[in-house]
Amino acid sequence: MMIADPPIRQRRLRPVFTPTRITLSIFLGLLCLTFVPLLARDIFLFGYLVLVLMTCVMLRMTRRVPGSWLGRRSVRRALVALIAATCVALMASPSYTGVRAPAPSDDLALFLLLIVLNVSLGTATQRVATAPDTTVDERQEAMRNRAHRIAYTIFALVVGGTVVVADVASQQTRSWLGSTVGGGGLIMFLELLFVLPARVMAFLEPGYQAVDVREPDGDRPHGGRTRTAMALLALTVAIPVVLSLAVAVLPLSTSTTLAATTDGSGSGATACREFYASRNVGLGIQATLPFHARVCWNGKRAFETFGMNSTDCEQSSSALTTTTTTQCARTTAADGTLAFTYRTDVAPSLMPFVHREVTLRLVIDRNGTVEQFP
Amino acid sequence: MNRLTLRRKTQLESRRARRIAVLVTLVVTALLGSSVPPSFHGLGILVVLCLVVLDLLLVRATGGLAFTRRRTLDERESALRDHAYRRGFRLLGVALALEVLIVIATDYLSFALSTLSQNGSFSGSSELNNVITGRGLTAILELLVMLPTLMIAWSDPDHVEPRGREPGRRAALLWLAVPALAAAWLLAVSTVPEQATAASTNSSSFGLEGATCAQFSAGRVVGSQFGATVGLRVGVCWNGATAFVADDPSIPLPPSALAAMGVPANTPANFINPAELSVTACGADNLDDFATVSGMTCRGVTDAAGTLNYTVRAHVSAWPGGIGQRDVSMTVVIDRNGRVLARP
Repeated sequence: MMIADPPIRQRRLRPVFTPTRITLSIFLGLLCLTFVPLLARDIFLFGYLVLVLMTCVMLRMTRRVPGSWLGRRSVRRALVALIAATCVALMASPSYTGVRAPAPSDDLALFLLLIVLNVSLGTATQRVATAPDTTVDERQEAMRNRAHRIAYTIFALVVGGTVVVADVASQQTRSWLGSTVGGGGLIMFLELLFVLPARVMAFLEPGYQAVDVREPDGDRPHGGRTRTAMALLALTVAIPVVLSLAVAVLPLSTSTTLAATTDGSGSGATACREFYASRNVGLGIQATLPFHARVCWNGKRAFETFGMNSTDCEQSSSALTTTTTTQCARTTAADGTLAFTYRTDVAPSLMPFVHREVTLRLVIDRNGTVEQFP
Repeated sequence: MNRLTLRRKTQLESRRARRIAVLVTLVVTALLGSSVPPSFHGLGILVVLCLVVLDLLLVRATGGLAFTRRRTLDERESALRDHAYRRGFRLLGVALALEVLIVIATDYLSFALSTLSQNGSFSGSSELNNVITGRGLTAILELLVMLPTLMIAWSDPDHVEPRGREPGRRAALLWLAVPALAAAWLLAVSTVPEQATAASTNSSSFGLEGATCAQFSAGRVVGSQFGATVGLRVGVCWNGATAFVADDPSIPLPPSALAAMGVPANTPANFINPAELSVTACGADNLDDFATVSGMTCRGVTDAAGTLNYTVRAHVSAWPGGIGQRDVSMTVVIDRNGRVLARP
């Protein structure tokens, strides 16, 4: 922790239950309760969340010297403007404005950018806004109190104003409020609640002077800890990028099962058979195309009894990817051969310009001979 | 001696009295922000006015320090105010987080109480998407506006009042806020145009043999969240011959539906078509915190072509006795093939 004067109060124990920690615990608890079923299903997402938390803890433990670049007022102001723009972009995201159905993964890129910007902001302001009372001097105390007063007014106007106008104005604004509260709006609310005073400080205060600050517990170097924190931060940012690219390059994994042939006399056929398949693309950031159909044949033609219709091409599951069905066709050739093609375009949410086409195909002739699957 | 002790006495002069006022304010705010009681039955405005009186007392007791411009304050007052804002900002997060917990907890409690109070069938949670109700909105605004003042009132040992300000005339003007708020509310309930509620996010699924069924829910908001909401919740089935209301024994099923179900003609109506309030309920989605809802009627009429007209009517009054009364009406029309011809 960087301080200007060696405060006498420093020897006192820091309180464990601060308002910020209590607020954070409650909101994190509520988020965990909401997303535990999702995390339990997705081990990758759970692992990534653990990594993000570890990174946050490590970053909190690192030294906070803004450096010559982040110490400049103009750079700090640009940082504040960029954070505000990112928040507005999250709020205006099509996921939460009713243009398309909400998908939590769609705005991951903006969310990750926001994390990185907040980390930079913390460094730029030396995290004075949230530092314990015992570690700041009088000047810093007055400075952050003033920042909080301004931040409070902005918060009340932005949050209170938005909520009142949206909740009262019309049906459309109420619907927007209802949808944004669970997505971009929630992120913006938490951002304002926890980071707004630091943003005000970064915007208002003149450049920080590194010569004024020193370590409270001696000049113990923190290089190793900083390097670890930076490595974790790089890993946190890099993993989604690498796994998004992996969607395009990793080989597809396919599992198939063919049930035993059954008597199809009840349906006017010689025999019937069920086909199960699942084709997976990507790792962690992935999409899975399931296929389950029943086909019968009578020596003249093969025909489906279920599983080869347009609704069966809407069953794909995705994690941080968007899937678009490009082909869903069932055809019967003149010789009675049945062919079904289910083709989907998979794009990672973080990098929508990366594409991968995944195809499932079943071709079966009039005598039940499987010519292609999947 | 503090210069402020020389001033004339005001209400809540002692720190203890101010702290009690702060606690009462927080309790009333929590009450407004919770779902208990489930409804104030039109008396919510009285709770809000009580809260405003408490707020004014606290603003007076702190000399309006939280709302005073910086240039009229001395260094100590300025420091005290800024410190209160910092504490207030941090506690605002706690308060809003607790508010969310209170809403969740009291929602469960209300649900449990409504389950216990019904015999066999209960109406469940509201089918309407009220987003933030008027009372919830009031609680949020109260916290946003008053938390710094509450902090100052709680923490400052002295009676604080900005220099050069006498409480007399300005304080008297402050009290005008109470009748002004009451008048604004009365005006809103009696004149602001009705609005539709936000699109519903949940609906009950149900079925009937030989028919296709769907639930319809809608609502009209009177007084922009600070009045009342009249809800419509009806389960409708259709079988090609006629459309009809399901799960409401007061509206008999048509012969074609009974024939499809294969039940004897003399079977009691509540046996073949029992009340299922989670599907069809008259007034279950009403919200009457700030205005009263009376004369509620829900009627389903099927014409010769098999088209169902289901109409909900109610009177919304700002005050018992018909003061500022307005009539609300909603109709949903569905033909025998399930085509929706009209909806609120």
